[in-house]
Amino acid sequence: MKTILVADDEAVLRQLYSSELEEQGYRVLTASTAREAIEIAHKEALDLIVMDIRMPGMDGVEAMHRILEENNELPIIINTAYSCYADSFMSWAADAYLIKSSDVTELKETIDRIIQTKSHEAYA
Amino acid sequence: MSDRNGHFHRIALDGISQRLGVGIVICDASGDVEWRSDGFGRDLPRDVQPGENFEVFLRSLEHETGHRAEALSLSSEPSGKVYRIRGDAGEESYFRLLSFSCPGLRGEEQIHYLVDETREKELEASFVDHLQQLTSMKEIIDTLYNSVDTQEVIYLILVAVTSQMGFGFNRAFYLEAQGSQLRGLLGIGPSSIEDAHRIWSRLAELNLPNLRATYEDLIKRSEPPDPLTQKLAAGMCFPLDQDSGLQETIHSHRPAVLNQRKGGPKIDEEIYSLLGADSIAMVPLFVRGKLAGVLLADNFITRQPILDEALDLLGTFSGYAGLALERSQLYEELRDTIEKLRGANDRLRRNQQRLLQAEKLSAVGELAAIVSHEIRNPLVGIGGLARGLLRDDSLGSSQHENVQTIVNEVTRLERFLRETLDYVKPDVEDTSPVDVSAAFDDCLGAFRAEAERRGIEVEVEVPEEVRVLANADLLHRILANLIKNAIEALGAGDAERRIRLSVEKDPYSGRILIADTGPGIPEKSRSRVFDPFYTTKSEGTGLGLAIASQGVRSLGGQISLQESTEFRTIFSITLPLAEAAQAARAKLIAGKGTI
Repeated sequence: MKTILVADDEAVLRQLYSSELEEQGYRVLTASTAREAIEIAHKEALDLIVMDIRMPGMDGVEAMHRILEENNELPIIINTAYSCYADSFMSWAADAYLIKSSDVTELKETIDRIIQTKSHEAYA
Repeated sequence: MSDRNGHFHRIALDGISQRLGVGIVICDASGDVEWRSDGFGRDLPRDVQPGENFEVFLRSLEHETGHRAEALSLSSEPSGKVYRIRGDAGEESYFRLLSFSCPGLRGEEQIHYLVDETREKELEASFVDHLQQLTSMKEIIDTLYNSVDTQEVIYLILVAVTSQMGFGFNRAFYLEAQGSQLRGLLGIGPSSIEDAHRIWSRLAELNLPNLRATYEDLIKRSEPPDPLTQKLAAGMCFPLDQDSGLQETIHSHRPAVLNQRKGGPKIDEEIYSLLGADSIAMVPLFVRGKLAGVLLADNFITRQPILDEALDLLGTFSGYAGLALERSQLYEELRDTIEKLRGANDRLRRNQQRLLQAEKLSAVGELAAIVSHEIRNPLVGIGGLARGLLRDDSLGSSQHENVQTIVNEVTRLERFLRETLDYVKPDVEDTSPVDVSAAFDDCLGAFRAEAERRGIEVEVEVPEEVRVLANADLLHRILANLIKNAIEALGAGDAERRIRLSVEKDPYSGRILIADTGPGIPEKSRSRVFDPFYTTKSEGTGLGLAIASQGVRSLGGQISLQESTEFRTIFSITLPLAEAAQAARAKLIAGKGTI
């Protein structure tokens, strides 16, 4: 079972994404701050992270860079309510940049696509 | 009167005649010469003899064509007749003959006396000459002073030197002092005998009334007036170092004649061969006590010698010419300064308007981004959970319908956010390489005066060229907001008022630091400084830092607040390095495999 970390400071959204992704067959861990996300990424064998940008204290972009410094292969999707970071060079390292939507179809599809590609690469 | 008495009288008359330098002749009633003083005709072509009829003698004098001279009657006035005697060498002397009658020994006698007026005539001629020179000089000076264009003044100076109404030299050049060199700037006058004939006969035909008209005739001609002379001027370049012969004349502050044969001031031979003249008048011109240039004038066509008198006049003229040059230069400087100030003022006004407009737009964009973020998060929660409920089979049809309505409404609101607030977000700007140093200069121009007024010292430290990927206009706005913020942060009470702009770089990014020695930002406010309308200062809108931060984000950069022992507040902006940005992106993409 693939493990996904959802980092978001909004409890309702952590709950929403957890239930949606668990339904999809993923094991879901959650973090409410960027620092917590870095700790989990350090301890757990993750297959993908869904990262919010605006969180109290450190933001998601910086957390992403720190996590990638340790593991450059780990796929990270930025999922934010901000649209203005989409082309930011600070976000270039992300595998995908999504704007939060109540319709989680695009998020689920993006996760599936990235995880499949990674598995495919691993077998290749 | 006895003969003895008469004899004594004659001796006395001789004495008087000699003392006064006046020749005296006494004639009898029929006009024959009875007696003449010694040396009466000393300066005349020939002397009168006793017994000779004086009238006949005078007529013979008038028609004298002997080898020595001719005598001409000039005027016949009540006060006598004036004779001009022309000597062998062409020298002229003037004599006035006065007569009266008085009773003598043998009836009525005619007494004639001859007064030498040569000196008076010379003085009169010289007075007329000087008056004429003064009148010409006045006209020349008036003409020079009526011009405020330096190039035109130089042209007029040369016209004055060459014109018959001025100094009448054949040719004149103006060489400008440029550092340690004299460089030819302008030259007028013919370049050959044929040329001289053509130009001078044309000028004689035109009979131009004054210097101004001569100048205007010169410049209005479609072809350059004297192309070869002008070319000659352009080719002139003489060193002004201590060993140069020119220095000697310049130091004397007086005009001099450079003469190849007679020696004169020691001068480079080059000047003679270049001009093809062996006698050249050289006049240094000074502006505010500093050598501005040198006038060279010669008579290379007519070969007339340059007289001391002409040189003296040129010396007087050079003082006025220097003043005219100074006047025109001051006027031009003034005009340039006004022009610059006007330009700076226009730029300032444009920048202010741009800044104001940009601030408004950025404030709207910033607000839009925050509102969008704050609404979108709960909407995603509501809508997402409602969508989950729709999949629940246990819901009754009316409940299902209600939940569907919630989903539809949330979707509608999300679409509204996308189409409105996201639309007015500050767009990610078009970026191109921007030199940080130039951006500093560009920005500081608008603040220097204000900083100076407040006694704030502004330092700029750019140890090496750093080019970041940014939008020049936007970076200008960001820096302007941060500099303005720093200026406002430095209170009048602070002992040290200093702002430092600096830049450093690593392989991927450039870091711009805007530091000030103000009181710093309190710990509790640090997390909120970039929020719109938040301010800890007494002045400002609370939008400056929000705008800067929004701007930095839309450039794909990062902004943060730091401090050091030297500077209590340092804003650090990180932007991608222009040259590394594309490479870095390519590397990340390659490393990750997907995006």
